[in-house]
Amino acid sequence: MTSLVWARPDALWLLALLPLFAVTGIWLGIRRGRLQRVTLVWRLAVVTLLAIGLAEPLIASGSASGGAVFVVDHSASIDAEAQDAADRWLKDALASAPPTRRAAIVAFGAKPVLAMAPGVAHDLLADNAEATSGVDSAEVDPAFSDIAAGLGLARALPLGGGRRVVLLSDGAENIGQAIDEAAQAALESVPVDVLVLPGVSDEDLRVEGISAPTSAWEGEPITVLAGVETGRDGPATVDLLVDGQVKTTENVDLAEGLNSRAFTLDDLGPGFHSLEVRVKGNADVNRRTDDDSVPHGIVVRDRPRILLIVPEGADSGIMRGILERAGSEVTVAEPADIPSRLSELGAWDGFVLDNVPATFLTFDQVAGLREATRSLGRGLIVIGGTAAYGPGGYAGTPLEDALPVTVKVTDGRERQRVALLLIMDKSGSMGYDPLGGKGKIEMAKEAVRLAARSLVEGDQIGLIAFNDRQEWVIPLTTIGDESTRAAIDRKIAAIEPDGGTEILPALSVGLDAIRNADADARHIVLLSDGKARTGTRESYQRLLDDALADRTTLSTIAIGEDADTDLLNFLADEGGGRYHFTVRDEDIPRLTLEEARSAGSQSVIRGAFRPIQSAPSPILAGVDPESLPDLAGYDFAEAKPDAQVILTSDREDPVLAKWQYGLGRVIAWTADNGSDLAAPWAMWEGYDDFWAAAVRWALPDPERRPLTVSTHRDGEDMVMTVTAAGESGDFADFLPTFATVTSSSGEPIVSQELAQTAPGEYTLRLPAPAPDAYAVEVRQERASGPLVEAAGITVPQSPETLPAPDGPSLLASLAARTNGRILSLDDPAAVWDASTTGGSPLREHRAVWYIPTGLALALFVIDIAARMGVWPLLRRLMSGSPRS
Amino acid sequence: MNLLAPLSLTALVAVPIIILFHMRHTTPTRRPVPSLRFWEAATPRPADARRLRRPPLSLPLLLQIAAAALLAVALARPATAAQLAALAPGLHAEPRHLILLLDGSTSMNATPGGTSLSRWEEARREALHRLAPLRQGDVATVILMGTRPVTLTATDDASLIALRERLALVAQPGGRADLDAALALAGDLFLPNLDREVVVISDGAVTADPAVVAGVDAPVTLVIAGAAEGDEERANLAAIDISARPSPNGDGTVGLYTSIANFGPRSVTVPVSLQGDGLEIGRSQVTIAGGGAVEPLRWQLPPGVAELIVRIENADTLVADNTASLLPGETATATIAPRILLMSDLPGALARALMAIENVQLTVEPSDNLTAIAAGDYDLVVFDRTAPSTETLTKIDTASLWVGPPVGGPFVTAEGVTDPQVTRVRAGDPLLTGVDLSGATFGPTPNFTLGARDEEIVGSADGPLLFRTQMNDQPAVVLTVDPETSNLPKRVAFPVLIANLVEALAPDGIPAAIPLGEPLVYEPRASTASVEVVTPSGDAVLLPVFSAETQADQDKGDIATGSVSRDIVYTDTGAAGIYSVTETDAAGIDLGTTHFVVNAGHARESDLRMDPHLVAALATASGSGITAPRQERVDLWPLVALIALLVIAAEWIAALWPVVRSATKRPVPRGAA
Repeated sequence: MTSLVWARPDALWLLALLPLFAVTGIWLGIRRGRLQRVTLVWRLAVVTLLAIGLAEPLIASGSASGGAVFVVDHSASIDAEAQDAADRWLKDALASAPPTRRAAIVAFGAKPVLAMAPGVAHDLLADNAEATSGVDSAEVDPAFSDIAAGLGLARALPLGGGRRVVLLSDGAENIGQAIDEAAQAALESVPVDVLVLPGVSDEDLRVEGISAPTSAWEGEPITVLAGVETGRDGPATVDLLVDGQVKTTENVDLAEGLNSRAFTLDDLGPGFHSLEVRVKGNADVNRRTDDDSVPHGIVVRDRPRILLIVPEGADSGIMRGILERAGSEVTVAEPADIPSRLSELGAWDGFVLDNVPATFLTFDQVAGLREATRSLGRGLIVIGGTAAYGPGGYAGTPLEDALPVTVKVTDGRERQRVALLLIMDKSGSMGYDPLGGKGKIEMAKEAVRLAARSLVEGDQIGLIAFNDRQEWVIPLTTIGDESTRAAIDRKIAAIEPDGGTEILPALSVGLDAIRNADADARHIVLLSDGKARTGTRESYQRLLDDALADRTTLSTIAIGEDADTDLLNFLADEGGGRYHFTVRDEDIPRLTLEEARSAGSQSVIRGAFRPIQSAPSPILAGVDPESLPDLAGYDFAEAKPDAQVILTSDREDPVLAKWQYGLGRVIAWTADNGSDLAAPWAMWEGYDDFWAAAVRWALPDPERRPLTVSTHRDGEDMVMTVTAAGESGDFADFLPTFATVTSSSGEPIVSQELAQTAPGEYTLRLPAPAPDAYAVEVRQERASGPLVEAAGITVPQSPETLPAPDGPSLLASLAARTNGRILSLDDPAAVWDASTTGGSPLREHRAVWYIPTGLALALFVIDIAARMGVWPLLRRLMSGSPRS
Repeated sequence: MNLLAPLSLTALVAVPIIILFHMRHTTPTRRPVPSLRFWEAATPRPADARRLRRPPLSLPLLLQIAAAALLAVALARPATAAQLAALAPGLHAEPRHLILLLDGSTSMNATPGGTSLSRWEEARREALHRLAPLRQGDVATVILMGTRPVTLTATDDASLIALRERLALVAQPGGRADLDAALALAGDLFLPNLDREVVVISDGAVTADPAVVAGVDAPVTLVIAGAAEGDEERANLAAIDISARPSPNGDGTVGLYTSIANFGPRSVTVPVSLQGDGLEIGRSQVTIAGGGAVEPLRWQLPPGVAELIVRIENADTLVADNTASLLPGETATATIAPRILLMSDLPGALARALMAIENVQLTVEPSDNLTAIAAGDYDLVVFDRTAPSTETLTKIDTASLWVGPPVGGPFVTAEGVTDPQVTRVRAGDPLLTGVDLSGATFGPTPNFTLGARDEEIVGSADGPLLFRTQMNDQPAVVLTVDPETSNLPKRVAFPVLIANLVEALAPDGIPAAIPLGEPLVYEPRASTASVEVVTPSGDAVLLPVFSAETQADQDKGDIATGSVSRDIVYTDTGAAGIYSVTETDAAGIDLGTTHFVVNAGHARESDLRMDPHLVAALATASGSGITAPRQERVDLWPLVALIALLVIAAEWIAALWPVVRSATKRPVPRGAA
């Protein structure tokens, strides 16, 4: 429909001049014969045309009813077949448009573009039969869907009122908020009709995702769980690629739905690795190929560093060998050598205390270990024995705080009454000191005093001093109040060294006496610096067999090089106790006290039993609980409420317990390292694996580092967040922090400083690189020096490869909120059925002012020609008449 | 001045034609004479016998030449710069499409010293001035550049008037202007047969990508609001970051981080105060170097502070960004955050994980308190190792989360209890976002059996460990493992998993902060009928909750119904400060209130300095032949045509004037008319 409108209608008032021209022309010209009528007509026409020209006439063309803007989804979630269907529908809709209806086409992915400028719908079709298929995919960026942007452009197009927006999409929005645009469209009375296109099918063969750690220790088995989804049963090939090379290929028969495949990697070297799971299947079930692989980045950290702490002189070989075979880098240290500062302890990833008494450690050292576990997240494994836990004086120390078990005796029912018999060599050599010191005898006396004080009320203590013959210095005496201990002190003081060394009689007398003692645990400690002149191994063996039958144990302390070390060692081994050797007199009290505590603290429970698995744990993964070897004893302890007890004794006491302590993990093993209480375990073939699993569990999560890197995708950007913990576990603020991102092939992607945005948080926003796994190195400048952490990040495939089950619901919401309709693929002509509201539609205006103005000039010339009498001349010239 | 249709100058051929008419000897006309006495006078002179003569220099001839020349020039469309536009508004003839990119960003809120108008007001005036000359046939598009561009369009007289009226009243959108996005949009607004002109009205504190500008395919004019100001006048201090995190020490304290930027040319020292719940709890004297330097600040806050305000105590051009607010205690005070009921007899790791989720209200009840469930009004019910009776189950009319459900409960189990290992995982599922299950152990777990409508997310060889299902047609998720026997709660994955589950099952809460100019979009509770938003200035806006059924009833049209979003969309977040949101049910009963913060400070928007590359970048637009600031082109033909009309009128008078004179003095000479 075409019509004439005036851009400057006020100019038509100039037509009021016409009467003036007419009156003057008639009165002054025509009536006086000076003007012909036709001249007046010409002049009036000139003025009229000029007035019309100045009023700026516009030819308006177009429909009186509203147009439609088609907003077509060109994102990757719409496959070629659906795109073709949409294109056909669009063409049919344009073809069925009433003749004067206008239309425009917007295509969108991450960005909207105007595919067809507004025009008459039929012309759009004629001009470009391909409708939207010619849209440059790079221009729309099909990796994302920003429906809001498409609707925004459709709303912004100057089509006037009465328009409809027709959205062709699967509704898989992943940028923007279309519901916001719908609200704006509703305010402008612009209805949004929707045509739901098929999106990503959940029946197509694809890798649904990978579940794998982003960080692991070297040597640690890495499990990669891949989910493969298919819509139909059938064969497929699943590949695991490591650093671009196929590592494992599995030919599998997939069942409809989700199929999980597990891969285990245990030979990845330190550093960043790019993993990828890829699936291949028949074309009929694998129509899309952009969802057939999923990348994953992982950083394998160097072998964990373990600090193995053993008492001075103790054999570290057993645990050291176990830990090294478990893949750890082991440093062996004696208590005196371990640091107490967190910054120094932080050099290790875990600590193993192998039967170390708390008394060997300073308070600062114990507190340092506790804090390294709690604040720095280091692992702590505490191995029991006769010098750890209760015997080791853990009760009430910071170390006990960190343990999942309580060391102290909690009620009388569990309290064991102890009978401790000390058999002390008082031969003449015990009183000899070439340096003029106190001599061994004085040290031994002191040891007896300490032992007496370490026992509690109800326990019994006895002392036999021997040289060539034995003497009951203190018969087995039940310890009572302080007067008992004072009496013991007085009796000890009277001992004088003299004579030779005869062990067997003294031992025989002692064993006879203690055998009848009314106690739960009976223990003998034999101290000697000389060689026995009588007794055979067989005679000793008989004594010891009888003692063990009565649950009496014997430990020995050999003092000096002259001691009968072979015999004493033999006695301890066969007596179920421990053998100590020292050349320093001042060690005598400590060793004796240790033995006294071992026996007297009611914490070592001896007796063979098979541990019972009380809870599943990765430490015992794959182990048949029935196949566990017996233990010969354990340190008595009680599980704390939050602890997870994995193994218990036959008395339901914890043998293996673990828990999370602050940021760190702690394991309590109340048996020993296999030298005594757990000796049968040392022979067990699964012993190494047991400790390897325990160490793996206790070690800090390789992902939990002082600098942790996380990423998330925000539209087309990737936001990298580095969370920084200070040395004491608090926020690390105001520190220059840099990140370098490199591709799996080593190509640098970005290297930039991060900006702090929150306490302990630093952020970097960058355009998301292509889907793949990337290595990240984060460097933070700290007062103690630069802290560098490696991490792996994964930029996932475009969300366009994922099914969007909520898409149709979103489209329905857009339509409902705008009074729109849900259209059908079968009825494209329905686009034009609905009535439109919201103002007059845009009509195309063409300026034609130059036509009346040009005509005015032409008539003006004609007017002059007429007045100048040119017409008669022209007539004569045209008729060929001679000039008059 | 230039000619837009120079070919039309060929019409000047009319001038020599007219002169030619005047050079011609006219043929004597037949004139009856009453007497021969006058015959001699009637006899032509010898000179008249020649065919052509020198043109007589008469007034009519000059006027005729002038009129013809003026008309020819008018047809050639002379145009000039805009100086004349003020004198003659609307002096253009071809319909045109004027696209105004009006900067509504935060920086336009600045009020330069010595003026009473903000840059936004100046820019708005300029925009209205540019729209004034548009007439029927013209098309106007105004793109308000904020965080979220708003487009206003007019295509006819009525809509032009409406556009001007709306622009005069529209609130400043605020936020960060994306000139590139606006230019790209302008480039897409192509209408055939219309001259396009793009005018950017801004303070110049925006950037433009020359590649985007080149794609606009129309001349781009830059108009600077506050153009005369230098860096000194544009100096501004701003609090550009504010955030808080609970201290990792677990002592309940909160670390607050904020950064102060100085966009002035020289170093300044200013006091910065920190207010907590209305009381000053911190103060620092901060020295910040000039030129955009940033000075970070950190405070350790006592537990329980609900509202924090960091204030730079300094008067500068842009006041809005001198204050930054934060609501770390909003979780505790919000009464319309999603309500979660935890049914647990021994709240443990699960309760701790739920409490750690921001912006939810958690109520813990023992499993025998069935009235809690019956009372309803919860957005999510969580069953921790418990299950209600069958009778109570039927009363659950909301989403539910089941953690460690007992055997014999509402979910089917097979024989036996196993210590499961993960063998199947739907790794890409939103429930598992950020959840690493490697190394997880689960403890003794019953062997559950999936129903036909259930969807397994994580599974073991003996049954599902995590699956989706439905309970009374409401969404439900079941985590089959007991968190107290699993090592999951000791892992980072557990709180992330629980947060994912809550996010999937409970409606979104209102975020504690929204970027300036970004819309608030959230789903209110099921019983909410309307939402009232009160702005920092105290203005209240009532937003009805969308209901497809109600809409259909009202319109009685063929609209879509069914599963549609009830999201509230509130867009007027261009003013900085604390907004309150109150939900009301259909009976008008207040359902609760919460708050969110909008801060003005932004590292880019608070920088009021003009981008030195902007002018050059906009000059690369096709059709831009001159460097910015460019000026509007004005058509002069109407003026020329009007003058031509006046000349024609004068010529008419002049042509008749001898007749008037001769009527009184002597006969009209021959050939004068």
